[in-house]
Amino acid sequence: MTSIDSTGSLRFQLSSAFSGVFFVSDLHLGDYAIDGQSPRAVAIPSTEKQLSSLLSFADSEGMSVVPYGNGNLVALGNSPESLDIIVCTTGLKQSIDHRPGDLTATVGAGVSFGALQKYLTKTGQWLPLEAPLGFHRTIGSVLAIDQSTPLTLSQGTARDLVIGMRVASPDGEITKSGGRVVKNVTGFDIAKLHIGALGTLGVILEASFKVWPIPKKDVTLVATYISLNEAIQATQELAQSGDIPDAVEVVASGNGVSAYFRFLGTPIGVQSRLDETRRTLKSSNTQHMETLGSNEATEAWQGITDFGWENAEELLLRFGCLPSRTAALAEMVSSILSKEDLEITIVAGPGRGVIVCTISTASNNNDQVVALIERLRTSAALLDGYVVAEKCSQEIKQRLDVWGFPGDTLSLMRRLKKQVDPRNTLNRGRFLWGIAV
Amino acid sequence: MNTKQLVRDLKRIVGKNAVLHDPDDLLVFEYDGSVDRGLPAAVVFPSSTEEVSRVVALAHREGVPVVPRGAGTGLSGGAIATAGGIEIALTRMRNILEIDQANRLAVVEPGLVNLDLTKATAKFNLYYAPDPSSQRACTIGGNVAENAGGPHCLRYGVTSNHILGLEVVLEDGAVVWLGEKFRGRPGYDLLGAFVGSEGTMGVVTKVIARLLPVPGAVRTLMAIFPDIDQASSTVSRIIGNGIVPTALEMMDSLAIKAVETAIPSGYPKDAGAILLIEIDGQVEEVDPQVADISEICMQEGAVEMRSASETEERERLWAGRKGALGALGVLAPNYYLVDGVVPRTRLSDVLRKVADIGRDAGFDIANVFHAGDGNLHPCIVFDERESGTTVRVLEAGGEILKVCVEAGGTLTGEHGVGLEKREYMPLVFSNADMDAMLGLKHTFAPMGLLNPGKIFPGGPSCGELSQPQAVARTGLGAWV
Repeated sequence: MTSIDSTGSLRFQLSSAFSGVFFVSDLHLGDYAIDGQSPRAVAIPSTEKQLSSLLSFADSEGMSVVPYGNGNLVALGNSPESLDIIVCTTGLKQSIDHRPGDLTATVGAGVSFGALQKYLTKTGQWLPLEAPLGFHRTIGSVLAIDQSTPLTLSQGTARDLVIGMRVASPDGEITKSGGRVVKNVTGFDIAKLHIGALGTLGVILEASFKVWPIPKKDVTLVATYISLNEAIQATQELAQSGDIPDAVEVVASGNGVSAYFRFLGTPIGVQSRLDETRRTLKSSNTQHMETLGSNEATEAWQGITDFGWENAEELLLRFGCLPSRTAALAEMVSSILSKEDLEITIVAGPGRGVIVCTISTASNNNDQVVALIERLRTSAALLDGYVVAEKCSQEIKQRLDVWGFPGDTLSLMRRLKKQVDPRNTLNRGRFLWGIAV
Repeated sequence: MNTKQLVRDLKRIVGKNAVLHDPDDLLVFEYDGSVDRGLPAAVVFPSSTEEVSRVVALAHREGVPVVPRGAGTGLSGGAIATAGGIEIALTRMRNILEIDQANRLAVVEPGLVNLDLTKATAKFNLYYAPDPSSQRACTIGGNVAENAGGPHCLRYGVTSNHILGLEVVLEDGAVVWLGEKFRGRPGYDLLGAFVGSEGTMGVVTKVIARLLPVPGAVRTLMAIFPDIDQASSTVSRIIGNGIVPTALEMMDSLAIKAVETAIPSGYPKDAGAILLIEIDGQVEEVDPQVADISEICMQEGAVEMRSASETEERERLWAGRKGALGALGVLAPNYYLVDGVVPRTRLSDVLRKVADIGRDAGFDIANVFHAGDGNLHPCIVFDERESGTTVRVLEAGGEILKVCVEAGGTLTGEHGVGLEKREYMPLVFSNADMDAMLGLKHTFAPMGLLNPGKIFPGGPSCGELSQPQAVARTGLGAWV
């Protein structure tokens, strides 16, 4: 069936067919393992054409391909059904075409998110987007995963900032949608499909973004509370009072409960909103309030954004629900987890209806963890919410879908996948319910 | 199935008072806001999702095309029944089903008029941000289909940034929800891909719209310039200074003259161009921003600044802008409107080329547009009764689109491709690009029965027959 000898080194055979592509030595393939499964080859093409040819070849040979940035969030997703070739985008041209007067930037997928932000800063602009471990990750990875972060409350996600995209289809065809202008309804907005699709519909090659002037003032207020619930209630009362901060997060750990409020804008506007927030919080159960210095604030927000990914927690869960139900969801999570012998830390974004939770289990009892996730899912569903197991062991991944049930649109999603990737070449089995039928 | 049978079945679904089939009654539904025409076999006015679903299922069974229709204010021919079939007019489904103040959202039916949503949510100090100039007439469902814009999209984004969920009837009549009241559930963003699909992937029957808090203060400024180049460079200077107003609109001298003749709004008739600039925010912060913007405008050559803070005064400044298209009637009986977009730093250059195209073709062109977004609206004014004129107008429009694309821009910023611009799609997209888009369409509507002949070149058309009519008649009640 294939022209590739399945007993020999795939790297050896590919490297003779694709000159110019760098292939990682077989000795290091283990470094790229996903859930314990090593790829048969890791390719680092240096041109889009090479990447496209590799894809086309793999697709025609029925091989499975995993698009790859720097691998920081590779733990996310179900275990791959098979893993033939990892294709890295980091070898592609590191291009940033920033046009400050147009408020746009077109960026190669292999460019690091941190490098882009640094570049934009030179002209007083930024991409109002955060990403866990963002400074180490590629733009392609940030787009393919597209998690909600604190600034999502006021700035939306990548879905609100991408104005155009070029992708390589599973068969190697390179296509584009959108463009480099900030307003555009010419043709379908195909880019939206690739954002948050975990690279299952194509390999992102380049994206164009709307960028914005960096706000003149950026202030963070931190307030402490006795309990998680009091903190969430205080933030929700604040939201009801009118103007909401640009980001609001509550962090509950063994060290107590703190709420962080971020204000972006003009110096006068920020001061006025800050004063108003202080007044509102004073009348709630707030214990102590202070504004953070700029470095402290940067660290605090980076810590919240990276939460769960910066070290090797055994279990990282993300819950989502209607924002007004965050308190009820938090209560449900706390009450279920408090019955178990578990050490937990919770970060809650009440304005965006997200709770992220790390759990250190005392034992390696997979039965207990699987039962726990299932119980949490059943309870979250009562609030119309969802639970994603963003990080868990491969043993647990074998027993449940990390994404949870996607609802009625699963059949449409499967139809789409079949249309775009009929041989199920990309990220086989890793996205929700394995996507392919 | 013949039309008689089809009408009988449709009446069985929606009731006899909700079906039009007499040719005289159908004439009104032959048009939309501007281009082209096509007569449907019947128009139905369903009152519920279930009725829409049954109508679409019937059409699917019989292989009959379906064209969804809102208020018919669209400017690209999106609601025209090119291949006949059933038009589903959603204007009777106009209820607001829920306003959720805590989560800042509303669940509405697709026939709700855009402005009525903002009016209904005002008592909760909330509003719906996308504001096409037709917002007094256009429907939310139509806005979703076209991914509509408006003057205030500069700061707050277009329709797709404000839609959380849609109930959609698919080609076979199945009803699905794309999205929900909150974002973030994992899965493909089918909602994001659906918004702006111009009625080719499904019929929207419910919309969950995101609402924003009404800002504490709003200021509107009018900057008057001797020529359009100065106004254009001011747009770049304001943005370059880190100020992103909520709206940044431009009108040139011809548009100003038309407005002042038809609906006097206090614009100086001898001005080369005016900028309308709006900012919002905290009460304390807007006035210093007004001062900053005014200073930039004066430095760039503005001869006068006017500002308004009270609602009534602000509305007066906006009245001329919002009624500009209708006012063009004082210049000529017809206009042809182009919706191209360019990077905003290319405005001066492209506007000069647009003027050259008009001059070479022997037409006046009025410009009234969203300068902050680089979304041009050159309006070619002419008299279609002069033989051969319309064809030349359309050629000039095509030339303008080519100039926009060559400048790094695109065909349409907010009006959609529809019928009008589909033959220009290859200027922007390769066959492979369009194949990828058609693949998405095929996923949702494999039989191609939903709004056939739109967006992509070729396909069923009455365009060739009616190209000479592919222009709008000027008059009050047209918006851009």
